[in-house]
Amino acid sequence: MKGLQRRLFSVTSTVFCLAATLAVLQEVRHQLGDESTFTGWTLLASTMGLYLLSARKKWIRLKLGPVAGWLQMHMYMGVFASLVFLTHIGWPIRGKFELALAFAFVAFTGVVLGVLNRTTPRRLAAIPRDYSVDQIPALQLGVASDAHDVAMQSSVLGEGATLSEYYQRRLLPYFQSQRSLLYTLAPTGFRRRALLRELGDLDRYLGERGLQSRANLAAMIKVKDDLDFHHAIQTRLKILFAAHFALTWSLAILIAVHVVLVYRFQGAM
Amino acid sequence: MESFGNLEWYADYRKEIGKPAKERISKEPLIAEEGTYATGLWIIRGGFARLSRLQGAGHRTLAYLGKGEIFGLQELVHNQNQSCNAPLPYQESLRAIGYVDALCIPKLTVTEHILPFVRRTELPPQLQEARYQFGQPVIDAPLETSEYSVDTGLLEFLVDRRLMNGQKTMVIDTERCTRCDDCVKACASTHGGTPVFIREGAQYGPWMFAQACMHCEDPVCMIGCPTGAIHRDRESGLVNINEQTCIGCKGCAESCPYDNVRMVTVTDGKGRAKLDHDTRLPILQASKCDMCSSSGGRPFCQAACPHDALVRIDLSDLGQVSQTLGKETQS
Repeated sequence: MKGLQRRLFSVTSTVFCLAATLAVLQEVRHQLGDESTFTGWTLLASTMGLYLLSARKKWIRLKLGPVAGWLQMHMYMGVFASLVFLTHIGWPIRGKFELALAFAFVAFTGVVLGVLNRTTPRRLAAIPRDYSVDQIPALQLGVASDAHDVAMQSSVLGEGATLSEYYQRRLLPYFQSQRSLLYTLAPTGFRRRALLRELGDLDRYLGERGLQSRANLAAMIKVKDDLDFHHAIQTRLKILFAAHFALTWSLAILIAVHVVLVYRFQGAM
Repeated sequence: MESFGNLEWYADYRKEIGKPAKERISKEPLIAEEGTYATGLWIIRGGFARLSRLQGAGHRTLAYLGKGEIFGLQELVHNQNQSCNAPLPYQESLRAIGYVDALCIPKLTVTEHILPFVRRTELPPQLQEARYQFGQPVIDAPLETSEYSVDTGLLEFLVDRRLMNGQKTMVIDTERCTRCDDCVKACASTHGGTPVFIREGAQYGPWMFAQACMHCEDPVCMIGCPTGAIHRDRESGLVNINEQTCIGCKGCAESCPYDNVRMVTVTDGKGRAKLDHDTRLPILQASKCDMCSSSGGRPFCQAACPHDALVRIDLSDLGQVSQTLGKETQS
């Protein structure tokens, strides 16, 4: 199935399932049945369906269609499960356990992951070179070492201490340290632009060789920033995926406990 | 039948790759030159030829011709139909990329023994505006016009890196790829824990041509294998390595111009390296993408991609290149 066909199929299936669930729910209400039991079991079934994506990824050798199709199904099933969940817990949300369940419910991380999966590749592709996250620390070290050499050589070349002093004061922390957690969460180009501007301001104090060293340092600032950006964006996605994955399993445990408690104390309800 | 270039072109390719395009193209053996008298019809029998045209001070690649494709028919048909006017020379140049076997059918044979028996509908359309006419000045065509909807830059990129040789080239759309490495993990899980490709490679626009065996149309890695371990499968057409007969001589790994064949340590069932009895050194064997042929169907790297970012395409087929990469790169 091609992309558009797959999307159409997923949307239609979700709408159909939702309509069918609401119709049955209406019927249960008419017959004064137990709404919670119906929505609860529907929720359980759809949540189990969400775990199929992990299973598909695990059993990649089985010929069950591309993972991309399963991911799309997972996303639409997630929307369906979220709506059934809201019907199940009612409004206002009753009790702390449901609150915990609501919190653990992975919808939030799932939605953010879905958005990031769409936006991240374009941001990464905008960088001229593609870096693998495993190689980034080694490349960062290499750039830092090169920058150190260039800055130190500038004073030896008779250009005075302008560049080396600036390097010591502003560039050394930039090249030799990791970016903050805030940068990992929301990477920006503020520091890169500020450093490039400050470096450009030094031009009036530099001779021909100094200008060449300055240009080299500017190029290295850009490379370091690209590396940091790639690292931040890829790490952010991996952390979020790990959180989503961990939450799904905590959710599974909470669901199991919830089901046991409900049936153990059914008479008291 | 004539042969152009060197069969073992990979050695020259490695030396030439860093040189300017103009210099590289000028060294490619010329099969037929634009502006010269159309002496015959060329049929490519093996290898690839660059169809190019002079553009300013350089050469612009219009297409690449592979096995079975022809050159010069349009000019010959035109000259036969317009026999009272001055004949048209070749409108484009044909150069050997690496190595080409080409058959030349002389003009007289074509016009007397072939063209009278071909339906008009099967012949190429009449040339409306010939670029080259004897005794008239030549005007450069605008760059954007192309027979295929493939960006000229992409075409030059594919030819310069000889990627058009690949029949199952792994292409990753970096504007879709989240770098989750699910493709690498799937590959590793199906190849005893060691992936047989690297998610890196030459990039043009959003397209990354990953370092995975391309199952080339002209697989130079097969040249000189002492045991014939690296071979082309008769049924599937894939280039495979027979693990039973590979002696780890590194010949294929060194001759692959794209560095897509790697030497890996042979391991036992428990993942421990097997050692040579005499030298006590690990035994090496050539390893490369086998398109998961042992499991049949489509490769697991492609099936595992959650974002449909990874495709396998036949770059020797310009139609397929145009369909898959053409529109995206142009937009």
